[in-house]
Amino acid sequence: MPVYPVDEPVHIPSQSVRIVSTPVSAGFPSPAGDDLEDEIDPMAWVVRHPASTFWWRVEGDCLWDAGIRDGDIIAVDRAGKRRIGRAVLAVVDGAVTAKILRKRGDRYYLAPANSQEQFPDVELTEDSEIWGVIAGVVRRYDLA
Amino acid sequence: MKRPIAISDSANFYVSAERIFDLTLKNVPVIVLSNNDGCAIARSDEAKALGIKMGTPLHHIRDKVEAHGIRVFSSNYTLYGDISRRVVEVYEDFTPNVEIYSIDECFLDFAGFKDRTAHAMALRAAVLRRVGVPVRIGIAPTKTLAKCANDIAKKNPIFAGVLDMMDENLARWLLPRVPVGDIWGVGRKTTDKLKALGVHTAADLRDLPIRQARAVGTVVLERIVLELQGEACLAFEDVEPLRKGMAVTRSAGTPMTDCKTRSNIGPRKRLRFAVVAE
Repeated sequence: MPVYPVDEPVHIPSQSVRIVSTPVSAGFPSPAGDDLEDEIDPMAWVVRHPASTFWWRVEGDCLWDAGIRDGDIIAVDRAGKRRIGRAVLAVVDGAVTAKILRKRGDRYYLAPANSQEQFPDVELTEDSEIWGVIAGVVRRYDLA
Repeated sequence: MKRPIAISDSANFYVSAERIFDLTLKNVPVIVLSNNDGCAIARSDEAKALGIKMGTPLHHIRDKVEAHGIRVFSSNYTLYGDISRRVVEVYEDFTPNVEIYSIDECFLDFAGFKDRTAHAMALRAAVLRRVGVPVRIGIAPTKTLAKCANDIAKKNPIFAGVLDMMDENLARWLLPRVPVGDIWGVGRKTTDKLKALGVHTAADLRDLPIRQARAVGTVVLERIVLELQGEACLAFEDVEPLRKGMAVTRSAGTPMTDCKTRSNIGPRKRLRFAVVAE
């Protein structure tokens, strides 16, 4: 699935959000909800290395099973470790694509993660390059 | 021992910044244009090899752009500023003191590191991996010598982007090979004056009597001579912002051969053809 750089560098003013210690279960709110315990900066939580994290916009659903969908904005960390099974941003023939890094035998592959649709695996060759590791995803939903 | 100062700069910074996001720009000639898409202000090595000089107006090189498939970009200062900030952030992991000198140049305090070359190599690898731009690093006891070392590292691939010139013998061997006009702060006019005096290389300038240096180029040149001798005159964070010379220029993008072309250019642009010289 193609990925595009987010035009303007994304600058998020660091902002802490108080979180409720109880996990959000889709049910009746816990009476202990007043018991605010921790503070978290959601961006700092995703972006562990500000110098090496870049934001890209995703097009397509080939990483649906990995929780990444069409229109999402993903944080990609160039300093992240390229481990097998991780979602990565790769460059194949000059085109940027988001895939899962896989290994079969001695060969490395870029594989999709979508059980609904069939996308082909791409073998990682000398001409392709892992640009970075996907560090997180930001998505918003319609409110209108 | 003298305090080592390093200067790190990015190769063809604007082009390198564009290359982070567009991998098809690898190994092909790329230029970035000034505001208003007038002149080439950043050139990849490939574009330099095609003879495109700094500041060449785009309309002078249209045929070259076409013939060699040169990739042409408008400048995107928001992007370059962002990349610059990231590079500095990496520097800060490698030294306690960073002095930002320009968008792509920083002085770094290298005091206290045992193996400076290895440290600089690690820094170089980190900037390349984490941000994606290549940098070159020169290390020396003064800023002027550090700039000189950086320049030598830039021009000679054998150094792999890092030159530690803290060793006096190495400096003594290298300086006779550096043209005096390449020294930081020695402009074209001063170069001419110095050449008339038989001063052709950095080593010649280093050996110029101090009083004579002052007579030729005031205290500024005197300071350069001392710095070349290894005596730090420009303290860390003590340099005024660079005076590379400034020009506000506007060009039309197309040759203005008749009135029609001229009137097609918006009035705002037309009004700004003035050149401000410093």
